[in-house]
Amino acid sequence: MREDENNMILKSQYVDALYESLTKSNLFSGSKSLLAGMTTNSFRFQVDQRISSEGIFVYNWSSEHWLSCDFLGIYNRVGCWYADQPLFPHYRDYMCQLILDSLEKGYYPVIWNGEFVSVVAYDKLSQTFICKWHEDKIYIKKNDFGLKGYPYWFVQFFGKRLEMVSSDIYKESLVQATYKWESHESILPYNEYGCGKRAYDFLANAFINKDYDFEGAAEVLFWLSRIKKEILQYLIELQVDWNELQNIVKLYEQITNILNGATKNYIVNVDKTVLIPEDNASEMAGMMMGIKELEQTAMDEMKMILREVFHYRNDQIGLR
Amino acid sequence: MKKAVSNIKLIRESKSFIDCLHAVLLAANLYKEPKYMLSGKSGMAFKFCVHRELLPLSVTSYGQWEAEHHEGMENVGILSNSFAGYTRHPTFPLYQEAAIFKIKQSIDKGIAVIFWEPEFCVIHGYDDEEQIFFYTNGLDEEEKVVLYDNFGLNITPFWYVHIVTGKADVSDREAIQMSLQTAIMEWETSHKTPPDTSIASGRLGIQYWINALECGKFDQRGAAYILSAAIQSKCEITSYMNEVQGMIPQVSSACKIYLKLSSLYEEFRRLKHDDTFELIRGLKEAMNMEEKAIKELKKVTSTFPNSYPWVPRWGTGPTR
Amino acid sequence: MNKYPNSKSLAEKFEISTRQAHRDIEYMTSSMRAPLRYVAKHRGYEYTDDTYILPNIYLTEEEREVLQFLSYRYEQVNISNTGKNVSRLSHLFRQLSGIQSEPEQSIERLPMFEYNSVLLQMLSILTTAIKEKKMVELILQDGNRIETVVGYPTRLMYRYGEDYLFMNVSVEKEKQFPLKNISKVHVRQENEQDIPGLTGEIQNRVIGNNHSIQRKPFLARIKLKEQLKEESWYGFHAKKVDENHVYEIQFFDHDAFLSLLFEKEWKSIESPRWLKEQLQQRCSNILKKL
Repeated sequence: MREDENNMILKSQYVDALYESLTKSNLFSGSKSLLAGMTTNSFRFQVDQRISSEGIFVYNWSSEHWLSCDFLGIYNRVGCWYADQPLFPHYRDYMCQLILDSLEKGYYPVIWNGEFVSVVAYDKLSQTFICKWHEDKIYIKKNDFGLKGYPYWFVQFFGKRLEMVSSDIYKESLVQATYKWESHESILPYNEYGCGKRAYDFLANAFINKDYDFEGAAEVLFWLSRIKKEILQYLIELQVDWNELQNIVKLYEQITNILNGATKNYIVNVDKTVLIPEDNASEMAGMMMGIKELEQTAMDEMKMILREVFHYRNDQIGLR
Repeated sequence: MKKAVSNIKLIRESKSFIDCLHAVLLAANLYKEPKYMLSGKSGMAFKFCVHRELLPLSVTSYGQWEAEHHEGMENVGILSNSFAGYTRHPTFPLYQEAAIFKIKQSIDKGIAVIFWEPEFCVIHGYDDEEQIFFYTNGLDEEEKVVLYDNFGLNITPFWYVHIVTGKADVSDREAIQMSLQTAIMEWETSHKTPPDTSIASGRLGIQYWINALECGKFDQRGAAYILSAAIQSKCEITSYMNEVQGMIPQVSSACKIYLKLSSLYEEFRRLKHDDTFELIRGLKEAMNMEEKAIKELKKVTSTFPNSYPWVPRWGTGPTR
Repeated sequence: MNKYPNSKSLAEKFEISTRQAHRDIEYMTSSMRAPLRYVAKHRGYEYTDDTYILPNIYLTEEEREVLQFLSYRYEQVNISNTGKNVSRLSHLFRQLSGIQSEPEQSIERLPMFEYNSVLLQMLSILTTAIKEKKMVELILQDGNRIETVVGYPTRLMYRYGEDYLFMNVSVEKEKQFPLKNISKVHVRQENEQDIPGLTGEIQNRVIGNNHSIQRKPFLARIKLKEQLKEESWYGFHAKKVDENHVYEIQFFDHDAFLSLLFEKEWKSIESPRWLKEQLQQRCSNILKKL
C-alpha cells in the first residue's frame, strides 16, 4: 500500500504491477493510463452492497488478466487457485521454478501478495523474490509464496508479443468497455455485487440507506476516481488520431470533475484513515446517479462510433 | 524419428475427456482405479448438458473446459496444464507453438496428451523430422496424424490441449465430498456456458430434452448421442456411489435411487427409435427420481465442513 | 472443379465443411428444385436437365453492387464471430430469390453495414487487381501527409468497421493500408510474373483480428510411372521434383489419399515415413484377412 496525493491509502492494483512487468520486460512502452485503457482494466468496476474495499479485488482474475495481455497480443499464462488446497505445495514449488525460469528469460511475472506486485529479481542467497511495488521494493521469501495473499495465490507469466495494429486494440478496448458497462461479472452473486452501470445503483442505494462501510466507501471512491482519470487520459491520447472521441472525452472530463469535487465529502482522520461520513451520504448518492447518466451517454457514443462492430457481434458484444 | 508413449488404450464409452484422461493416466501409471471412479471423483459423471435442439455438441458443452477439467483433475490429485482458445484470435500461433513444445516434452516424459479434434483424442507420439503428431480417437483402429502446422485447427472455432504434469496424494474422503457437492451444483445450475442459454445443465437440461422431444424439432444424431452418454453417466454414477457408500454410509439412500435411475435409463436403450412418447414419459420420471437423489445428497453434504466462504477469482465466465 | 462435383470437392473449392457442402447440395435439390443426380461412377453430381439454371431474379445494377458489397462484408465478419453469419447470408439470398423462408430461421437479427458507393468502387478495383495479380499505385493521404506506394495487393480485410488492403510493397514485405487513407488507386498494366523476385503470394503473417489460418496440406514425395501432363495427380496437386518422375503431392485427407494409393499406379513412396507405414499396415490387415 502507499499514500497517493489525496492521502488515501491505496493497494497496488493489477494494472500497477502489469505496467511494471511489461515495461521492464520490453513488452510495452507508453503511459500507464494507455495500458489501463488498452487492456480494458480501467473500464472494470464492481462494488458490493456495503461498498467495502474488498470489492475492488473481487473479479475473475484468471480470465480478466489473461485477456488484458491477449488484447495486446502478448503470450501469457495465468495460474490462480486457493492457497489452502492440498495441491498448493506442489503448485507453489512449480510456480516458483517457473518464476525463476521466466526471470532468466527477461520476462517479469505479476503475482498476488495481498495486492498485485511485479517480481523483478530473485536473491539466491536468501531465496527471496524481490518485487517492485510503486517506487519501493518488497521481499517475498520463496517459501512464503502465496501466503500473504491468503486465501488466493496468483501468478501471471509473459512471453513474446505479436505485432498488432494499435487502432484495432483501441477499438476493441472501447467495445469491451461497453461490454463491461452492460454485463455482470459472472463469478459474482448477482444480488450482492453490482458491476458496470449497476455498480452506481449499488453505490447510490448504500448511500441513501446510509448502510455502508465508511472507510471502505472512501477507498472505493478513490479507486473509482482513479480509473475514471485513467479513462480520461486514455481517451485524450486516442483522440489525437481519432477525432470522433471528442464528445466522450468531454463527458469523462465532467465525470472526473464531479469525482474530484466529491473529496470535500471525505474526512481524513488523525491516523490518516479516510472515511465518508453519514452526513454526506445523500449528496454522494446524487453524485453517483449523475455520473451514471454521464457515463451512459459516453457508452452510447462509443456504440454509435463503432456501430458496425456492435451490429455484427449481435448479442455477444464481448466475444471477439 | 518417431517417439511415442506405449500402452495407450483409449476406449470410447464415457465422456470423451474422461476416456482420454483415464487412458493417459493408466499408461503413465498415475492412476489405478476403474474409469467410473475417475469419472465420479472428478465430478465429470455428474455433468450433463442439453442443447435446445439436441445438437451433438450437448454432450461436451458442460462449461468452460479449462475450469471444469482442472477442477475435476485437482480433485483426484492430478496436476496439469492446459491451452485453449479460439483459433481465429491473433495470438493463437504463439500458443500453438508453446503447446507443441509442451506436448513433445510430455511425451518424452512418458505422458500422452489430451486434445480436441473434436471429440477429445489422445496424442501419443510425435516425429520432429516429419513435423507430425500421432494420435488416436478411440474409434478408428488406425493411428492418426496431424501436422504441427495444423495443430489446433479443427472444424470448431476453438482448440484445446490438456497436459498432465504430475500426481499428488489427496484424501479420498475429501475428493468424494467435493464430487458430491459438484453433483448438486451441476443439477441446480441452469446454464454452464453463459450468456448462452440455448444449452441447459442438470435439471433444466432434462427439461430442454423433454421440450425438444415434445415439439419434435431436434437433431436425430444428437438425440441418440445425448441418450447414450446419459445412460453411460448414470451407470458410472451408480457404480461410483456403490463404492462411495462403503466410506460414507449416509450415501446409501441416494445410491439406491441412482440404481433405479440407472435401470430406467437402461430401459430407454430398448425403446424403439421413434417411440418418443415413451421416452418423454420416462424422462419425466427420471427427472423426479434424480431430484430425489440430489435431495438425499444434500442431506449428506450438509454434514460436511463448510465449503469456501470466499468468492473465487476464476470461474466459468463468458468467453471473449 | 471437376465435371461431377461432390460434397468433398465443393468443400475444398469453397473452403467449407463437407457437411455444409452436403447441406448445400440438399438445399439445391429440395428447396431450389435443382435436377441433380448422383453418378456413382464419377462419385459426383450432374444435372439431369442441362437447361436448368438456378432461380434468378431481376436485380438492378445498384442492387447487384449492394449484394456484392454485402457478400464481402458477411464473408469477412463470419471469420470474426459466431459462425451464424453464413446462415444469415444464405437466409438473405433465400429472401432475394423469392423463396419463402421458414419463420423460425428468420428470427436472428441481420447485422447492418453502411453502404458507401465510393468505397465499393475501390473495393471492386482492388478485388480485380488482386485476382489478376496486377501492380497498383496508391495515393495515400493521412492528415496533411501524402505519399505514393506501389506494390501487389494480396487481400482485403474488414476489421472494426474499417477496410484494409494488404499489399506486398517489396520482396517478402507485406504492409496494410486502411482504405479510408487511400485517395486514389491506379492499376498498372504489369503483372506479377513480369518482375522476378517479387511474389504476390500471401504471407501467413498474423496481424490484427479476423485472420483465419489456412490448414496446410500433407506433402508426399512419390515416384510415378511417367511424367504428368498437368500439375495434378488424380485431383491432388502435384509438383515435379526431378526428372525421374518424382512428384511432391499435396493432400489434406490422408484417408482419401491412401485409398488412391491402393487404386492407382505408382512406383515408390519416398516420403513421408508415416504414410508408408500406414499403407503397409492396411495391406497387412488385408493380407491377414485373406
